[in-house]
Amino acid sequence: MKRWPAAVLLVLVLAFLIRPGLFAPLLAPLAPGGGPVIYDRANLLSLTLAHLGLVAGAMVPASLVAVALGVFVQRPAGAAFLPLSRSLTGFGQTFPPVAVLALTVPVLGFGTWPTLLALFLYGLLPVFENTVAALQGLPPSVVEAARGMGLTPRQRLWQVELPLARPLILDGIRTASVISLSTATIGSVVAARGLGEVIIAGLTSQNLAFVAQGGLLVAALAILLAQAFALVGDGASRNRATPRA
Amino acid sequence: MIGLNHLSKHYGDTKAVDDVSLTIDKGSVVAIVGTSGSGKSTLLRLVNRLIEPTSGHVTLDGQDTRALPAFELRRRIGYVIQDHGLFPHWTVARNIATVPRLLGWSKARIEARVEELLTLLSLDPAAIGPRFPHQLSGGQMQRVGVARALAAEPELLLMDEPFGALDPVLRGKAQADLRAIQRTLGTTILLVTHDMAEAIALSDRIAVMRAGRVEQFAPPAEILARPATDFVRALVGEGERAFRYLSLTPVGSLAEAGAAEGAPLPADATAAEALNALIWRGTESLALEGGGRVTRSALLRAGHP
Amino acid sequence: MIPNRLALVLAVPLAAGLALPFAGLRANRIAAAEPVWLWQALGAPAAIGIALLAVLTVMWGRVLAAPALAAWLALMGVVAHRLTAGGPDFARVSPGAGFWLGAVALALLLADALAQRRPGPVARLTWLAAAWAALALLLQGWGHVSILQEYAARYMTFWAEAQRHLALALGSFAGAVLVGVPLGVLIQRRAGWRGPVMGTLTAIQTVPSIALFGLLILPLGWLATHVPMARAVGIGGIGMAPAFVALFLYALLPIVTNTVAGLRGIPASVAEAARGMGLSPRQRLARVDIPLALPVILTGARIVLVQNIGLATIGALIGAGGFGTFVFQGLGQTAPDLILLGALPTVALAFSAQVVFDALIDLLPGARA
Repeated sequence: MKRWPAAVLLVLVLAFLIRPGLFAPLLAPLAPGGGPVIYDRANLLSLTLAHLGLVAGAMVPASLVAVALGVFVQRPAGAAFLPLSRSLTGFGQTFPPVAVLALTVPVLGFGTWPTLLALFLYGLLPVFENTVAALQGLPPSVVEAARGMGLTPRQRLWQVELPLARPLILDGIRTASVISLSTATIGSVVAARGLGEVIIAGLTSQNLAFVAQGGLLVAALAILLAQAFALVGDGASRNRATPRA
Repeated sequence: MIGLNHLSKHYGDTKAVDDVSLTIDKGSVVAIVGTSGSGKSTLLRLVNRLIEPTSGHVTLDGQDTRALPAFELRRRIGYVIQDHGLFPHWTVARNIATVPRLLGWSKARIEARVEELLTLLSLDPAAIGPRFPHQLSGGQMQRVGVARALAAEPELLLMDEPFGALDPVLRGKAQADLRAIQRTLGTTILLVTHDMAEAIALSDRIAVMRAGRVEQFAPPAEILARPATDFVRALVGEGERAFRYLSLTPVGSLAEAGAAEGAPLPADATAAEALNALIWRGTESLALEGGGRVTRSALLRAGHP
Repeated sequence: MIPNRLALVLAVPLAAGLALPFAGLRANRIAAAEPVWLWQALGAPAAIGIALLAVLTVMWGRVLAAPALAAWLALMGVVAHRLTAGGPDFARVSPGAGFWLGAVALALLLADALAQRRPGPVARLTWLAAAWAALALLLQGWGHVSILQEYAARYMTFWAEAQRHLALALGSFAGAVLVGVPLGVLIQRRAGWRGPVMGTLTAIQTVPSIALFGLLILPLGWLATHVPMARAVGIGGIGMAPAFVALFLYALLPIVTNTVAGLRGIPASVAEAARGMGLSPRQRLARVDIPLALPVILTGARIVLVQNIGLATIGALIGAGGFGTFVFQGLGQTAPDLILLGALPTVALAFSAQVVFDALIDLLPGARA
């Protein structure tokens, strides 16, 4: 894949975050007459960092928990939980993100925590689903060989199963993170700090310049994040193709 | 010496393996032959405890293998499977080093061993060692699978349809290589196959299995000469019995003094190959390399016990 | 009978559900809630009886999960009725942490019982219908529970918003199917168009929903002011139109992707045979390609419908209405009951759409068994 479009995008995003004024002429037609063009109630760079922090704060624990759960339900000790956990991940994804967010507010109140919890719960599903699929999809002959050569269950997991499942697990984390980046904007409805604040401010003050800069910034971050995952994934699978019998 | 003592594996009412006892001499090759569902693969997997027996046990040099943790036992027993099961994320060298690393060998010793094995299996260590499995041909993958199983100098090598995925030409070559390697290293081998010809070509003794039980356990010549049951007779294939019998006899053992026309045959060719040449050339006798000849009547006599 | 591991684990939240406050009693809608425990509301003997029933449910979860969940929901109605009897009219009883925990534990037990049974498509549809009927019946007894009181206070708007929500979700869904499937067929045939089309649709997905809704205000507003026809058919800068267009745009990618995947998945031998037997390209498409690709296309459609039902909630932010109206009002007024009034029907709708669509896909002739 060509890397330069992502590099150009990265430069544009950084330029906008450091010197948003440079882009004012582009956005000015969207702002109402005389209104501010660049969001001025908070620094865009710090909002972006808060936004990314929110996503990371939810996705890192969600990924760890989901991978651990995915491994657990495929061990003898966790087998009883496999049917339920599969139907739960299927139906968990029918839960609208807004509903997850809204339902956590009565429990946790307004602010960062309900958003973090909602993003965490929502992030679990794709990662869990992919972990289960990846571990179940391992070539049976490889698993059999690992057992037959005398690797202990723990050695099998760390040396063979997880490394082979890694591309698909990473794919789940990428999907979940990109969704999470977008869902985090809704968090601003419950007063979590992030780029959603800019969009909401634009919607309430009828200032589309705000909506555009918030929305496009999040979209650009999503694209960059997906690219970053592709970069990590390439490194992981550079020398490996699916084995063909 | 490896002893299988009254091994049974039951799944509910199904007896996959039913009270099987075999003794495998050190340095010998034993083939388990049977149709699919006869329990031959299950029996093999009971030996390295990939499946735990319902009853019975295995001894390795007189030691009851139940005394060891399963993973330690498996590190002492090489294991080759049909789809080779190479780890796709590791290089060939790393694959071969699997068990030595588990056993904590020194880095230098592992490197030397990997090189030795690759050379033994006629693979170029410098070229093949750093490759990943998906960069190899089917025949190369199969050989790497064998090298990996032999890496830690196992006391026993288990092979489950090791050549099943190869085409006939490669398979014949792989069988010959395996026999040569076995003679060099003196490894004890227990091999599962559904192919009687393969069993006859490779092994010192054959165990014929049916419905979880061993119907006959004897050297190939005896299996051919005196099949114990109708099932064994059917598996040997009455139509090819004489040729299979001939394939067990080196032509050199039938040699007599004298001369014959035509190109001489190598002395280690089988009597079956000699008969084939004789019919094709339409002669009464064949010359042998190193002198002497073999006659038609001698070949025909050797075709039955 | 020995309960399985899962039932034993679920016994923990169930026990917590019994031990935590079952309901909250508030003197009025915005007052602080006083916790009410089960034994306070019903008396100790009844509470002990309920605890014993809970033990039985854990032991025989496969059979008892459904009746136990129904009984638990009914219990909430009874408790609310008791607590408000004789009290002031504006006193509110809302479900407490204990109720929610217990309900979740029982629902999981039921979900496991169903998953173990692997019901076929018809059985799943029957279960869904039964669940809706049971819910309708049980909610009759919830007259004194705060969520239903919020509903009673605005049931006219509730059904109007429900209608708008469905119109928004289903309308944009239908539009996306009508455009997406032909688009998928087209780019499957013209490889050169695939990159640009898929690239654009993927890029649209990365724009967060609230921003996309907002950004569409501008072009649609322009359309409304400059094209008289547009205004006449109801296209405007705010309201339904931008929400409809946004949902439509989000929905295109899964449909197009799955149409292409479905068509690609047709075995080459089948396509070859269809050509060999002299079917025209049009006949091949209608009689062979589309029917064979249908399960995959429908899976894409299911993803989109479920996603649309959820995303339609966001429409409320730009005045498109729908259940989101209650959610955002509730967030604005810090009124949890109102949030639930918007969120729970959305979840129920999305869930039902998934069950119905999955069953339909399984019912297709020649579908996966």
